[in-house]
Amino acid sequence: MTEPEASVRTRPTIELERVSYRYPDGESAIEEVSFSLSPGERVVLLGGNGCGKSTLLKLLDALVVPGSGEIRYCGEAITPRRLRDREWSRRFRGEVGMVFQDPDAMLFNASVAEEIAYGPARLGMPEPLRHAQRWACRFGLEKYLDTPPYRLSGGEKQRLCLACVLACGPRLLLLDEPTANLDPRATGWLIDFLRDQSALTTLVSTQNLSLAGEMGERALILDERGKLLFDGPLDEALGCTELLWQANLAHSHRHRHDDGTEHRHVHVHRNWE
Amino acid sequence: MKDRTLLALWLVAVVAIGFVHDPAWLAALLALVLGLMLALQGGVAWSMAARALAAVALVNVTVSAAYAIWAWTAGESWTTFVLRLNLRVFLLALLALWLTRNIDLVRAVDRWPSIRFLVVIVLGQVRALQRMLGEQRMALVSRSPTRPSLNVRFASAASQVSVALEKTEGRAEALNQGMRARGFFDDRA
Repeated sequence: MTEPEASVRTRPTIELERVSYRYPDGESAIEEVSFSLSPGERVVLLGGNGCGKSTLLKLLDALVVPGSGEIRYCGEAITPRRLRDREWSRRFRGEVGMVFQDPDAMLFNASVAEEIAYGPARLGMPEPLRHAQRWACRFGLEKYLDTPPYRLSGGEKQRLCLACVLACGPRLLLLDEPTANLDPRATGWLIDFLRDQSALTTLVSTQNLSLAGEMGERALILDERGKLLFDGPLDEALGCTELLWQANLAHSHRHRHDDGTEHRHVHVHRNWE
Repeated sequence: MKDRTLLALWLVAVVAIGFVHDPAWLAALLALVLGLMLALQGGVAWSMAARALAAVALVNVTVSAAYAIWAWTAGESWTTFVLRLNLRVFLLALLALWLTRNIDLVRAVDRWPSIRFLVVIVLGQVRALQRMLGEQRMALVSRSPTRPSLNVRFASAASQVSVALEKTEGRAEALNQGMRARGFFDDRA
């Protein structure tokens, strides 16, 4: 392998360097966050409600612009100027796919087939409808090809959104609380599916610790101010109750003993059976 | 107090503008409002003016064109009406945007609990809709490797409106049930 080829392979897919973001009302959402994702890595983004997980994913997908800091995709800084460059933007939007928490936000075509074919058609892939059919079959949506997406159930919509994004052949997949609308069976299917995508870099946001262990090997944990509290092996994060408590990911409740005394325990539910 | 005064001023201005029919006076009022906004808020005034223009443009152009065609076929003058209509609607939209930017509506109606209650419900719905439409806009950008065509944007907008209506209805029903569960309505009535 030549040196440039090797450097492309080891180069992070996406990097954040001291990125901060404030909401339009001035409230801080993300504070000085730095990390990078390597090709093929499966990372779980953990944090309590309102800690900025969705905002961080939107920053990575260049949907919102950081107030300070820099985000680089394959070594190139994502700037408004680059995004205005038609070729660069086309490559970026094709290679970085995001599935939103609310599937309704993503669906607007007249049929499931057209919905999946939308991205591939815009990327200039040959026979986008046939391509869409293949993806629909893969996601168990083949009988809905002519059905308008709004008629699907929540779980089917979620699968459709995933099919839409994966049909474009992304290198980086950002999933915002992907199991929020799924029943346990569909959740199991999603976990297996993601596990099979070894070439894909995935960042999955969730606050469900029982599922986190199934969705990645590395954890990023945000605290309630949007600061990166932890970046390391997922097992280590899930084993540290104090860290999870700090990130609002553990709960405490009262225990009453037979002798009538009461005390509080911090609990973490880690196992998914 | 400041919020209530500003709300009262806005209400007086809206009613007063309804009595002004001469386009020249309306243009003078518009210039005065824009001048005041520029003096008080600087460059933000221009972005507010642009947003007001974008908000009313489609309806105003359609109504103006329809009236102009009707007046032309009927052999009547249309310029005064069209000028009056456009200046008045633009002025009202600009004042409404200025109001929403500069006052805390809940505090402004603090003295009237029933109105305050209504305002809180409406603002809650507006905030939820704003968030939803923002998400949809971002999802369209995220899913579009190239700039979406006008057709795609129309399809997306139509879908957004239909989802927004459905969700608003769902939220209104849930809100109604929540209020009923908390004893807000008299179930005997």
